This record gives sequence, structure tokens and C-alpha cells, in this order.
Amino acid sequence: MKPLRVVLLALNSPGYRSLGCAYVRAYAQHDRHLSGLVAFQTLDLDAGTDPWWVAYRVLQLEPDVIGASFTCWSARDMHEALRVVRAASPSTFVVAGGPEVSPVAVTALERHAHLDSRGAGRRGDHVRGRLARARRCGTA
Amino acid sequence: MLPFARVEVGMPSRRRCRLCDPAAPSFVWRSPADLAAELREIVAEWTAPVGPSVMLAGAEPFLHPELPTIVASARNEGFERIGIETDGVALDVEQNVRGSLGAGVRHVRVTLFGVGPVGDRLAGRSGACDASLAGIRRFVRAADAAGMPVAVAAVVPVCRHNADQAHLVVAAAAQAGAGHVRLEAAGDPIAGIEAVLAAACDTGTVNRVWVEVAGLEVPESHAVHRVREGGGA
Repeated sequence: MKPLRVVLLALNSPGYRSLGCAYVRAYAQHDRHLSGLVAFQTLDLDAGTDPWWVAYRVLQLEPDVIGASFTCWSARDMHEALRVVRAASPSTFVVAGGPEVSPVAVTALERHAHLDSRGAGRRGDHVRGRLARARRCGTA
Repeated sequence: MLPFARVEVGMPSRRRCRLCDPAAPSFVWRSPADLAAELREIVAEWTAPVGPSVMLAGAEPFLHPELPTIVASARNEGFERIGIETDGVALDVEQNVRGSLGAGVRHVRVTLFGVGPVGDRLAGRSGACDASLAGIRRFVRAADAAGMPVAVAAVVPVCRHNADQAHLVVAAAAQAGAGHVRLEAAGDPIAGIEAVLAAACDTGTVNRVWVEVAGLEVPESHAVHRVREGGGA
């Protein structure tokens, strides 16, 4: 059986990488329940990157699940990129995380049709890992 | 995935280096009315969930005397994304850059055959490569200053004359500000260039420019760089 493909996406200040995405990936890769079931790919792109470009890069990876990190400097472009991704690939499950959505999670999910779920807690790490596992088992 | 309709504004559509295709091109342009009709038809028949998007290509679009009219037609027809495939030389003219951005062009694909004297020889003109890179640089800078997100790709038609330069082209394109380099097969298959292509991909990673490879073999370790079916920016 093919592993679930999860793309962790962040738009960072140029030259930086997302610590949040790195945590999520590290936790998930140490989770023995996910071993062999989930393949992670992290896309650390620069803030200011054309959202179309971001969507293109994500779609090239053909993810089943996207974990998107929302920060104040990236939220608008991230929403636009995910809108394009959702239009092109409606079956891709999108999980939002990061400081820009966690405190307003319900509102964010209501407002944005391209978001399916959101992570919470300490960078949403456990939640997103478990979500991937749940999706893999067909329970979410 | 994210498809573009390719509309050729004129002939010939040169994507081969001068050593592969030595004949000097003589351009034949399509009329704006003819192109507008094609653009209208594309919009009417567009079924992809994203778009419509169009890439104006063929003979160098910036040499078409009616390019502003053609871009305006595309915009009026409701294209979401308008791109131009160019050799990039015309982008080193401020007026062209401002005009393109102002007209709604957000995507450019610049053909690069190589760098330095070798690249110039393949492009068929002295100084061509530097001019193309300068065009990328100016376009990116102008878009940045205007706060307009743009996608700039360098397209390298890879043949036996420039395969060993692939990593150099990637580095030069990255330095000029391209966000993406596409290495695509041009001409006969070339054996034994996997390592060079892998180096080109790695050069892109180091320089924060994504490299994708179309129609050429890359090692399994670099499979993520292969263009998937229906892909290509």
C-alpha cells in the first residue's frame, strides 16, 4: 500500500526554515504508529513567493494531506495558494496550523473553504501527526 | 495540474540552439484579430478547475508589433494568468517590463541556452545570455518594487551542445532572480548526463531555485525533480 503523502508547507522569511514544520515532521517520524504509513515532504519557501508558484510546487508533489503553517507575514499568500491547490485538487486534505489560525480556528475554517481542519496546541504537532494517522486508517 | 493554453503569436517557434538548428529565423506574425479569436475560443472551452491561463509563445512575442493589444485581448477575455515565453532580452527594457506588469503579465518563461561565450554561440548572438539574465533581473526587481508576485522561470532546452553547462545555467538563473529552472530535452537523447543533471538540481537547491527536469533522465535520488505528467510551469 502506498504511504500517505503529507506536504508540510511554510512561507518563511528568506533564508529561514519553519521550526514548526520541522517539529511536526520530527514528531511524526518518531511516532511508531505512523512508521511506513506516511511520507513527509517539507516545502520551505520564501514569503513573497507568488502564490501560484507555491500551489504549483505543492501540486507537483501530489499530496494527500497538506499541513500549512500560517504566520502573520504569510497568511494572505498561503490562503491564496491553498485556494488554487483546492481548486486543482479537491480531494487534498488541508490542515492549517501556526499562530495565525490557531487562536481563531473556528472562524478560519468557516471563512475559508480551502481549509479542512486546523492544528492546535504546541505548534499543532501531535494533532497533525494523529490526523495523518487517522486519515490513513480511514477514521477521519 | 495548473495548465496553460499555449498560444503562438508567430512562427517559427524556436526552442533549439543555433548549432542544432542553424537556420536564421524569419518571423511571420499572426494578426491580433486572429489571436483574439483563438483566445476567446480557449476561454469558452476551458474545463480545468484553475484558470483559464495562457502562455503567449512562438516566435519572440516581444518582437510582435501588436503585443500590447494581444495581452489586452487576453486580459479582456478573462484569463486568470497571463504568461509570456521569451528570450528575455526585451525584458531588459524598462518600458517593456512596466508595460507587461501593468497589462497583467505575471508569468514569464525565459529561454536560456547557456552562459557566457558558449551560451551566446548557442543563442546565435554575442551578449545574448547576459541580456537574457539582465532581463530576468529587471523584471523581478520591477515586480518586487511594485509589490506584484510573479513567477519567473528559466527554460533550458538541453541538447548535446549545452548539457555540460546545466548547473552553470541554473546558478546564473538563480542569481538573476528566477524562481524556477526547467531543464527540458531538445533534440536527440543524450546519454550519460545524469550526474550533470543531478548537479544542476543540487545547484538549484543550494541557490534556492527549484529545478525540474522534463524528458531527460535523472538519477533515482533526484526523482522529485522529474516533471510529472501534465506538469510544467
